[in-house]
Amino acid sequence: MIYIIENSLENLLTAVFESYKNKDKQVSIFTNTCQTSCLEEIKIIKTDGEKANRVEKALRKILNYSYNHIKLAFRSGETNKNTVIFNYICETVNANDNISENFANSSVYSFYEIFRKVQKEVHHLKGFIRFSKTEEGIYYAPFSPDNDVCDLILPHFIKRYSSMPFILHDYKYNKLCAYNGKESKIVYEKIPPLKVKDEVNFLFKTYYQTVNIKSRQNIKLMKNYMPKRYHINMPEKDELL
Amino acid sequence: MISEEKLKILVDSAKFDVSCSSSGSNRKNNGGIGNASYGGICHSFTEDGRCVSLLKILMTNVCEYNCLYCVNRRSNDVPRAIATPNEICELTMEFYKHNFIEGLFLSSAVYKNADYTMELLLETVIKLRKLYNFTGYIHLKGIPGADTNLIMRAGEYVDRMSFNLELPSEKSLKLLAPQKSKKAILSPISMISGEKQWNKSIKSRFLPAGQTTQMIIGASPEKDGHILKLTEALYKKYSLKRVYYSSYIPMNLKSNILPKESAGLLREHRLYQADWLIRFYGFKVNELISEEDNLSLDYDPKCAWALSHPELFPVEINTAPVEMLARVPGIGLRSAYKIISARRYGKIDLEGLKRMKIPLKRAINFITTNGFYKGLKSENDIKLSLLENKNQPTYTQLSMFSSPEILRSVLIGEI
Ligand code: SF4
Repeated sequence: MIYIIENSLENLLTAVFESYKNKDKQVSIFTNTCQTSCLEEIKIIKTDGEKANRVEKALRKILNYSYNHIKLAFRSGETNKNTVIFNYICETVNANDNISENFANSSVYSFYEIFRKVQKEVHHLKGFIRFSKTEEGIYYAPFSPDNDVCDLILPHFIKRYSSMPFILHDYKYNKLCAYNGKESKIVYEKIPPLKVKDEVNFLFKTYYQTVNIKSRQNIKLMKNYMPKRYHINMPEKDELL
Repeated sequence: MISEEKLKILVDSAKFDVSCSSSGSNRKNNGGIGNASYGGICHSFTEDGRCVSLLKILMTNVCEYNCLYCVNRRSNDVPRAIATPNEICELTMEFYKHNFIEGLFLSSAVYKNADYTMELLLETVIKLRKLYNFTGYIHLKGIPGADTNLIMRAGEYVDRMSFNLELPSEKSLKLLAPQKSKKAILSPISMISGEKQWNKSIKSRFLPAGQTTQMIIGASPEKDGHILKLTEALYKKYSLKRVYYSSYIPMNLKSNILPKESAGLLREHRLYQADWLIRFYGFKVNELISEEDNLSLDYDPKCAWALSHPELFPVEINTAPVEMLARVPGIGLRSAYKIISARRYGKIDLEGLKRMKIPLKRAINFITTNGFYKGLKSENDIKLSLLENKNQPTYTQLSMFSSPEILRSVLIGEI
């Protein structure tokens, strides 16, 4: 059985409700029809606030604080995330118990993995995001994360920079988080990343190259800890700089 | 802003310091720029696989002293530079705002004399805090032999301070760093530890991330057992946050007291592994190694320990206490806790362990699941299969950061 939903947590929770009501088994969730094979039966699930709410309530009762893991996992950029979360929710409802740590259960573990990936990326980005100073004196950071986490890292930088205006520009999920030194705003817009010329970037590249110990070269390890996909926005990795 | 040339000189001579960890402090931002993240954050990784967390730089590399193992020693012919406090402050601020770093790791060669240098360092950190409103992380390397008042005042402004032990014995120190004395190094360490104890009760902001130290390994003849004993004593006596080891790199080809070759990264790596076991796994140094011996290069210290205690293995995954699970080669603390969590829901078999992504290659020879043992039969086969350098001929290139656990421990200091 295949369910088609929009990309929203509310819609996914509605799908859980429907599957119990209709006793549908072996459900896979997709967000558009072209991913599916035509051999299986397809249902289109419309978001229903009432139904989603009932599922959320039931889950919160079982999971307490760890309900937030579901919200976080939903930020995942994995293509099968909806099915993974769906299975985890069903498993939890069936057990009527907080099984979030039953790692020997494959639905739980698959869920745990995508949840951890989001969590890890949030942590990574706190380090790997790079700001450049624009002519207007605003610190601007373009990036392209795997998961939809731009607004989740915003509070970290507000706490850190306090009175400094900055913009986080996620040009993959088309989100801009802007902070003017007092308050923040999230804007959804498709804009290509800006190129900013900034002398300090050049100085940092010098630092990065100087602090390296050549006799201990280990590029593989470097790439392991700092995956290549992040390099594009790092001045220390910019060969043209 | 500081010139590129100067930056190169002052960074080049600071880069061998391994302690770039930025963890252990949770300084809040009240209106300035910066806060410290308790877990520490890596901002980049250099091509040698090390984490860039702090701007590591010297105030100056002009040195009065002549420590034989050091590039900056007086008799060495290298380009020299001196930064001004403002140059250090500006650079720190801009790097911080660009999100290149968590903060500053400032140290210095001994310029003119110990007090003069310490005053320069103090002036810099006060400026950074008061004038530039920097509230991020600062690690200051103290100058041994400087006036205690200067040292204690600096402790009010920075997150972490370190005085390096340099060498694992007084005898070696006399030989290789004749202008430094054991007393000049240990007395500030002891004073800081006393002050921290006292401040605990009045909750002040004195060195919130405590103090650390560092030793050079392989420039002098001390054995690993001796070094680890010393480490254990330092943790106990002065509640140090970390002891760092730095494998000696030959930089003074003229000296005939110094070995011609580096001790190698593997030895350094083994020491870190043992240090980690002591701090987090409840191992005593005596269990791992005797004072006159070096750690095995063929097996990691936990593995070596397990192989010499066949009477304790195999352990049953479904009943062993967490401390014992964590002593199984291949099972780390994180895995041990995963097993304990999953155990609450039912019996675990090998398939269950695989689903939890617990690496079984080594562990399988030390465990049973529901009474079944699936590992190799003879002790000799086990020993052979666990031998680390079997298919790793490029041994000297093995980095101390090759295991993720050690990377965490070394660089982030996170448990
Ligand atoms: S005091 Fe010794 S270790 Fe420090 S910079 Fe001078 S020569 Fe090097």
